[in-house]
Amino acid sequence: MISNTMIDSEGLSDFLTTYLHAPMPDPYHSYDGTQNRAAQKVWDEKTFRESFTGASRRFGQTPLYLSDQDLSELSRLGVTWPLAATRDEFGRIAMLIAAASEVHPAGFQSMLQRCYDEGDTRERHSILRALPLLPSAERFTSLAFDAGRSHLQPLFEALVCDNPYPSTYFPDRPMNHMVLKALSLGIDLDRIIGLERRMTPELKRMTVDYVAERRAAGRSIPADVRLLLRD
Amino acid sequence: MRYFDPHIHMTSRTTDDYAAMRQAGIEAVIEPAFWLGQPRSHVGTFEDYFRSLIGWEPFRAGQFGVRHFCTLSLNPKEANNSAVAPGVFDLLSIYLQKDAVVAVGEIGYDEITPDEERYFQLQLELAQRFDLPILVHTPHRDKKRGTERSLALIRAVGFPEERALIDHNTEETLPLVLETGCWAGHSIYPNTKMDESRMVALVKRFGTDRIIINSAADWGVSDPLKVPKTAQAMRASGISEEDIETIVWHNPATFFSQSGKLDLCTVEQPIDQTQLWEGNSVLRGQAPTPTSGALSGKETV
Ligand SMILES: [Zn+2]
Repeated sequence: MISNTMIDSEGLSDFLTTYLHAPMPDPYHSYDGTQNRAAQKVWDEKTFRESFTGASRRFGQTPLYLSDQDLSELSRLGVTWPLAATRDEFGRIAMLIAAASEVHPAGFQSMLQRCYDEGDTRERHSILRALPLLPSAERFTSLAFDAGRSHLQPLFEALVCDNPYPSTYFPDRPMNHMVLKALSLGIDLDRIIGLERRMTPELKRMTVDYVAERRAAGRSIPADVRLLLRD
Repeated sequence: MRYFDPHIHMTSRTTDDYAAMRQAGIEAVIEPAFWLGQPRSHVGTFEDYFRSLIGWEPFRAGQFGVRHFCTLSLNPKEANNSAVAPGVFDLLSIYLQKDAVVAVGEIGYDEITPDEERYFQLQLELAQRFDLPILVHTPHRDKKRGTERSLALIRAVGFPEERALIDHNTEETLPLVLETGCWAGHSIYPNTKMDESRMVALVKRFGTDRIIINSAADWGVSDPLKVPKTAQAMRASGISEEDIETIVWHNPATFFSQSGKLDLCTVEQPIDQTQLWEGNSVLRGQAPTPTSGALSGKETV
């Protein structure tokens, strides 16, 4: 089973920052009212949220160009799936990894939820891509279930496609519903990482019923059902 | 011809409207945050409304090949509701930074109260801080006075006039707006505001410079096809194709491009979601492009 203990967070954070070759936003508010350079700095949630939103402009929305060397480095750090497509996504993922190591776990969890709730589709997309890389990632299942219920197809795909999170952390019922929904949306089931480990008699029964329902309605049957029906 | 409707409240419209709009050539829309007909009593209702304007509605529009942007604000009517106004104003420093937000608006006057003026001014300052243009609503009653006061406040604050669009103009207010550097919007809205033939007459008299038209279609009796219908009326009266295109595409595109966030190219060339990672045969993670769904005939669940 994939587990995020296999992710080298610090190494990944360094890799992303180096790749982006742009200064990371500073989520600290300085209380420095004097010339004292060692003045106390305090991590500020609102500053972080504003810069998380502003990451599109800071890093740009252009596609990533990853060399074979970049990909093997990512793989060495534990990321063996296509993580992201654009620079701002890389930037946001790096910001979240850094924040998770700097903020108290409970504070991080509520802040992540807030970033997700107030995020636009790009921001939410980045959060879903970052989930499998965050410490104690099982904390974030309710946020992920929400994406699994979304009618916004790009969000649903961010969770389902090339993302080890659902197969690692979802219990059977949301996992089964997600797979069936992906099937009916025409999403290539090969892109659900770890699906083979999550095949159950119940998922098979749901698939059989789905096929029967489609047949009764005279509708086409997605070719991918055979992946779910094989023994 | 392609059309841009820079003021339409799609939240209140159906998928039939989106299909008819795309069929008529409307490729881009801007949805200003305004009031929903019934007063809101919670800040959270506004926040969910803002979230739907930056995520859900662009996705819905994208299914029909329409690019959707928005403007956000505390609107003038509800600026008078002291139970929600401060809380809504506080939300803006986060939400104005979203990619889909191309202006601060609708702001301005409704009944011309002190609270309206206070939040109008505060939001002019926010627009300067976030480097956004503004969309200014002008009142239904006492319109001329409201327009004069809006122009005076913009000038007093030192807000750059070329970054201000004054909306819902009439024969009486348009000359006042054109005397300044502000742009002039016209809402072609059945029974009130402005109609097609009056708009044709205004274009013949004042030309096309800084002139914008919109449908302002919303939850009331209104028509989301008013931009193409007005273009048709201009065509029938002998106004040139070039002038029409200036009014229904180039002018709104130029004005809202001042936000630096009006990305119109994805209207013309949707991102290919199956692009490969550079130098590798692995599929890339999906970029959030609201292009799949209803148009491709896929079933939604
Ligand atoms: Zn309006």
